[in-house]
Amino acid sequence: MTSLPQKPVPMPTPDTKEFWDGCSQGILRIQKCEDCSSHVFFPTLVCQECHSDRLTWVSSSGLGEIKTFTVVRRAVGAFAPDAPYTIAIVALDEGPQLMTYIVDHKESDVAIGKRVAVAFERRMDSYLPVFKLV
Amino acid sequence: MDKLRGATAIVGAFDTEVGKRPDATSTHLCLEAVKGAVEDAGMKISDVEGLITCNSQVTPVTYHAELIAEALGIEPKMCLSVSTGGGTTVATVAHAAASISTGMCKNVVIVKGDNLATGFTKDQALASMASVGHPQFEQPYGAPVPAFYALVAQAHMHAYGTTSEQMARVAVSAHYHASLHPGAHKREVLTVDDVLSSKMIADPLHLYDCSLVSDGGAALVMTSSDAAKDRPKKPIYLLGFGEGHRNEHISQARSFTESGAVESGESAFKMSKMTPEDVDVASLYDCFTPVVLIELEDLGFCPKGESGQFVEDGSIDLGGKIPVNTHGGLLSHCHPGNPGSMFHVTELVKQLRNECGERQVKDASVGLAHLQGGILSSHGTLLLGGEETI
Repeated sequence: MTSLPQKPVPMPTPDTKEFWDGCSQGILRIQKCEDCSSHVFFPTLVCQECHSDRLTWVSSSGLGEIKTFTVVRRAVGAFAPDAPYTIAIVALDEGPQLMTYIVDHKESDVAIGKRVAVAFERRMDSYLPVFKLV
Repeated sequence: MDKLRGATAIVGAFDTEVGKRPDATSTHLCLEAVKGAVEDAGMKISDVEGLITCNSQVTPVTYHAELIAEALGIEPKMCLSVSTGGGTTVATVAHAAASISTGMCKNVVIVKGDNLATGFTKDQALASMASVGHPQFEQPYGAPVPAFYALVAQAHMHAYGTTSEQMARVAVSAHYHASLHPGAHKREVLTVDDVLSSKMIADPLHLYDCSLVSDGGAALVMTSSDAAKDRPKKPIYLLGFGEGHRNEHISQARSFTESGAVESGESAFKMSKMTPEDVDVASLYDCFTPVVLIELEDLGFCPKGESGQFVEDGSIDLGGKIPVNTHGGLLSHCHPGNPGSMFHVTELVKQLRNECGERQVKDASVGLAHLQGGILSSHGTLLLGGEETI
């Protein structure tokens, strides 16, 4: 066996620092457009709806629903020992979507359309947003 | 765009030997492919005026097309390296057509080759797999590439009742076609049960729902329609092309069951003045089985949500309504990474020239290739035809 590389941790950039700082404080922060009120994620410089550059950071409700998911049975590298684990795309109630883990669940309970709430999982010095069924 | 309909043609096409090629670097595979395609076109390497390539994943360089030109001993008027994954093949054919039609160069060679199967060390292969997805918002969750497409498969099953058996049927068809192709990487025939009993990688995708990892390269030679008439082989005309780009990252997709193939298909059909009913043979990007299902729907070969039944009925098999990937595709012919989609186009050229022997689609006159890169990100559609179609 070759030694397993470490799992990647997010390396914040000036554009994303606010998001990751929020995760460390247990708050899911996303951007909101001051002109059209759309919420935006990934962090960016212009609103993806109206292309205004007047974006501010707000706290998300942290609630949303599962758009789609998969259970990873064969993982690679540092993730191999974790399998099986559930990866999902969650749509927040504010609109934006993110990739995440669904944690603390029975496999058979996960389904498209199920409601979820954010939690944060520590990895090294970072905190990743993950979601639990509600 | 209408000006480009039928204005250029593919006059040379060549596949290297594929599968495991420990004898060949990625550059070697590119050179072999250029040599073969130029000979097929009845030209000399010194005739090449434009050279378009895609970077190697195994040995990436900053100036890839220039590297290949240098290794060929030519000084082209135009060198361009393009990178939109599997979709690169469509982008390069479109750029070649525009370059030839505007007089930038008389001919363009498009070449892609890589040695993913034997060139990567284990660590490089792991690093390559881990580099898919957004570095901050996707990669930390450790989704292997099949898992990204499993998200798409799961959504399609949920929305339309598509089954694992139906997805498996796509692999069965590809493997059957490859069994008729003497050069294919994998030539064993599979059954639906073989697919379903292969190991589960990421629900609902089994091992045989996933494409191969291969070495190989392929090249195309394009020139103007006028010049094409002097070439030894039957020219295959570019009738239309289109692109569709909805998202780069799968987590940002606005739909998991419909893709940019809708836009790229519409543009390509409009430009070519064709409809799905006119297409005799298709090459659809098939990195994973559910991708073919979504493409069949988005391109209009069957109604949205009905692709599962469509493939179950044998529609994409040789002899079916629209034979798909008669070479075996990425699932069974070969998948050397970005170059994989070149073989979808070289196969169409061979089909339209009536060179496919046992796997020939009878009287094939119009061919469609739909190719994509990223995770359902960059879409491109090409329509090709013989002289009777222009």
